[in-house]
Amino acid sequence: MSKKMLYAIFGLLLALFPLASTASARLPIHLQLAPAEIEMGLSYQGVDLTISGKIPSNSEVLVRVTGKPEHQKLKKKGRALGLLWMNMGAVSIDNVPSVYLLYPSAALAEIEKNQPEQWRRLGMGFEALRDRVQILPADEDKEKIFGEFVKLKEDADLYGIERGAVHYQENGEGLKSFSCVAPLPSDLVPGEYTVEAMAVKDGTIAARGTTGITAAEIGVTAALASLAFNHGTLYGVLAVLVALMAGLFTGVVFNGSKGAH
Amino acid sequence: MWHMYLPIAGNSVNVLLILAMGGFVGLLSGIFGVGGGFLMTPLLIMLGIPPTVAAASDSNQIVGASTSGTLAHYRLGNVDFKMGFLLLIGGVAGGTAGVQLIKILRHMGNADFLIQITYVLMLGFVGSYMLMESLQSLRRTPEVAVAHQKDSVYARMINRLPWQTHFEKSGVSLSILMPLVLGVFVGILAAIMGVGGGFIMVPVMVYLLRMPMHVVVGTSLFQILFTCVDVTIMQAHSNHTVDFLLALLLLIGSTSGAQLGATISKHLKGDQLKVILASLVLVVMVKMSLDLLLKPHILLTVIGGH
Repeated sequence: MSKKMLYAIFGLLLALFPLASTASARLPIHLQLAPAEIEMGLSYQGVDLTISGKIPSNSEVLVRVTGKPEHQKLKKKGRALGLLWMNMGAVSIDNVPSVYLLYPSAALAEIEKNQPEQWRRLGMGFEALRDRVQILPADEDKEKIFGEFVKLKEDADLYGIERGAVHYQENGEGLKSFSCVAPLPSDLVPGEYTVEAMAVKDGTIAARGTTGITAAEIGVTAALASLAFNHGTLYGVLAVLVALMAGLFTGVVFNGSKGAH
Repeated sequence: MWHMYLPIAGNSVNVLLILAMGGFVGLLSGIFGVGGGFLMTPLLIMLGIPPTVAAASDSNQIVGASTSGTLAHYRLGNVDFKMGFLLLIGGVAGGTAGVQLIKILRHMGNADFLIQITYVLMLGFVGSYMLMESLQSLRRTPEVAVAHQKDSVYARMINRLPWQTHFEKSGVSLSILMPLVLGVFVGILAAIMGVGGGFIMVPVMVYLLRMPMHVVVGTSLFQILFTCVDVTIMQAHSNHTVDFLLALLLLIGSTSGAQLGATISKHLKGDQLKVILASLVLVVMVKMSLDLLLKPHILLTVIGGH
């Protein structure tokens, strides 16, 4: 091999090196969830979902848990006769996730607070979400309606931005481990949820990892829900019979303890 | 540890709290002959149960509490079955008409306004009238009370109605039209307000049917039992909103509470019962009025609960 050729190969390798490092940064983040599934049995009272993975050391992580987009119908409260607060008309919000929980690292939380322009470019948070949803009727004050909707969801612990929930551990090899605990509430609707982690570097998303988690009723709760939704009348009749029996049983027990009147 | 997940309500609740709430409302049910829906439903909503599930599951538990209460009052000789059946027939007819009326009103808009205003006005009217009348009655001597009743225009008017019959248990003679028509009236109001109607039925029996308070309590419970059987099956069939586990927890407390309530009721005078019930109705009325007058924390509500 000629000297010229060796220089050419060496030069090509040198040129490819930065590309290789970029490619490694864009490798998907592998996420681990604990528990891997959400089982909603009789003892279910919400779950603390631990989300962990590894990102390049020179980036910051943003974790997001979302539910499926849905069409949400709502009643608007207004003043009737200028005095009484009551339901006054309906609005609907389309393409809005049932759950939206965001966990920025401490450094990203600072950016959210102090550099709104940079934060907006990431497309995260309630303002970015507001831009993506459709509110009907179209002449409604989108900002006000969506603000109230977020309050409603925050009250149910289904929406939230939790700053400082992410913890890091240096891992060597240019990587660091992160973990964060997402408390999912007891009124979570059974279904599929998406968990994402994004590595943010220089204001842009440099790597991303996505996985899913299923929340499903199990055992007695699953059997009861299935009976209630698939055989409603039978379920109603059984519910009435049990209540009647309980009433009669208590009546007899009390009478037995007091003697006949 | 003491929590249980309710699959239809889609939420987890504290078991001890639900048992205690069931016991308290069952006690009131046994004492006053009301289903207690006007108290229980708001309490369940405060615990995070969707409103539609709270109302339907409460109907399910009232089946148990009113069975227990009716049985206890039957033993005490306080159930007028003849009057109860007539009121029930009227109530079912009125309830069906009321449901249709609500559909029309919803179509026209402003149904919510009418429902809330009717609720507050009925609670206010029933509570105030019952409170004033029973307080006066407690001060009055029995002779004056009898004379007062005999002279009333209302008494002369209802005596002229056709198909007069004697209701032995209540000790009154009335036209059978009276319980039928009043049953329709209460049924319509109950359907509009989405409640069992016990707190309207009790004053109707006392003041318009002139039944003795203790027989009113037993007969009202008997009638509520049938209404709630109907509502539970209808809600389970059409809306899937009955949470059986929630109802079961509530009725463990309420069936015992209802028995205890019937015993307490025996030791209280009719007018004393009326004063306490009227005060309770007025407290709920004030709470609902404040909800209407004070600006809510959030200006949106979800349609259809969960």
